[in-house]
Amino acid sequence: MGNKIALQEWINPLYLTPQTLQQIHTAFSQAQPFPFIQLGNFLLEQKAESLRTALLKAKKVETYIPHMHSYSTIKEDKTIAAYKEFFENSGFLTLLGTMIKQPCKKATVSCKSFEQRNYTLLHDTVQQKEGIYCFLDVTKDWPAQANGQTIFVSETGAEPVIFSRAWNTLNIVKRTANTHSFVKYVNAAAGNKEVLLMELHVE
Amino acid sequence: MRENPRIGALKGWVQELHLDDAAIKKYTKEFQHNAPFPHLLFKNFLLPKQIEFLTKALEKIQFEPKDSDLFSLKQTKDLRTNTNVALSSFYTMLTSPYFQKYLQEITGIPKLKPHVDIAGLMFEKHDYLLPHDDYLDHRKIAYILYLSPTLSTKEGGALEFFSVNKENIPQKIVKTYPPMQNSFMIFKVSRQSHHQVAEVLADKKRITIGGWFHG
Repeated sequence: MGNKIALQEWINPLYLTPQTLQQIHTAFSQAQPFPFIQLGNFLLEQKAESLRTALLKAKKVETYIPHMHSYSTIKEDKTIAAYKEFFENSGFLTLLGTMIKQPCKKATVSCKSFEQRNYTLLHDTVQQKEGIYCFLDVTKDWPAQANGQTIFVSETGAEPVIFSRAWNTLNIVKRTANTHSFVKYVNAAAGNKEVLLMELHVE
Repeated sequence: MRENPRIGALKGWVQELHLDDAAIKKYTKEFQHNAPFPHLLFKNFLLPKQIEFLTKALEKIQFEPKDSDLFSLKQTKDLRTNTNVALSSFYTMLTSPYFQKYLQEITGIPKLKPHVDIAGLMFEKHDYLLPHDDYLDHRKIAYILYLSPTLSTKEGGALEFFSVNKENIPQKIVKTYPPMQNSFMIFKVSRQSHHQVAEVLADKKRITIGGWFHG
């Protein structure tokens, strides 16, 4: 994981105070039907903009298994690699662990893009990994009618939890064995806009 | 010369050109040979007045919005017990031994049960149905009757069929059928019958009646 990266050079200072961290933990742990939270304005504005620009410019590889998913994985360039390093670093993982009061040892980071006609589907044969799942959303000016939300459903029959596309949010979810998620089909109202996500699977 | 009883029984609904022996022979061959899985599209299938009656009947019925990972559309309740004259007579025609024999001859699928699923579906702008195979053990033939005015390719709403690999995993779209008023699609339901309805892109409605014949 290397040396600790200075959090204040990346993250909104609001999220670095003990009081806020305690509030985040309370909200996260009390959320129903499973622990989750959405943190707005998470990165410093310039950092979020720079990541968005890099994700937009990076090479994308389409992955299409019609009855399961359709999206693009974003290839890592030098800028994206720096963000990846930040989220995999012990500094961020310690902060995340403090927010959710759970040890976070390792994060696996990947980036995805969803454009018009992209989606993911719930599928019987795919077991989604239990544990902490985070996604940093750097989708900007997204038309709500285009859909593309990340939706979590649980087998308990509880109301789905919907994460609408929101600029510079860090979304943290504690996924259990019966929690499954999908990205709603992006319709033509999206025009040429795209959903840009950096995902973290945390152990 | 006595009229073929099938023609006699169905001609109040189905256009006669689809009912004679030569047509059935041609359709049987086409159904089996159509790729990527057995299917057939009958054009100008019902008498125009019946399309008009069915369309008017559906205008009086409530379509409920349905939304999931797989679809965004509007659907009626089960129409089997609907008391509207046009709808109940259409259901009686679908479940009649004459129509079932007609489908059995064309599809080669024996012993259809008189139970037929039936519901109205409406796709409006941005509605869609993503890839799936319809497969359930007892479902044998899927059917779709197109009621609303024809949509062009650019307007979306096409029924699209996928090719599959050896493991029956869908690969790519190989057949596209834009919605055509008064056409009737049937396809054999199996692990290979992966299909979808493309997003409707126009400010228009795609209204159908559909369901499954069971065996």
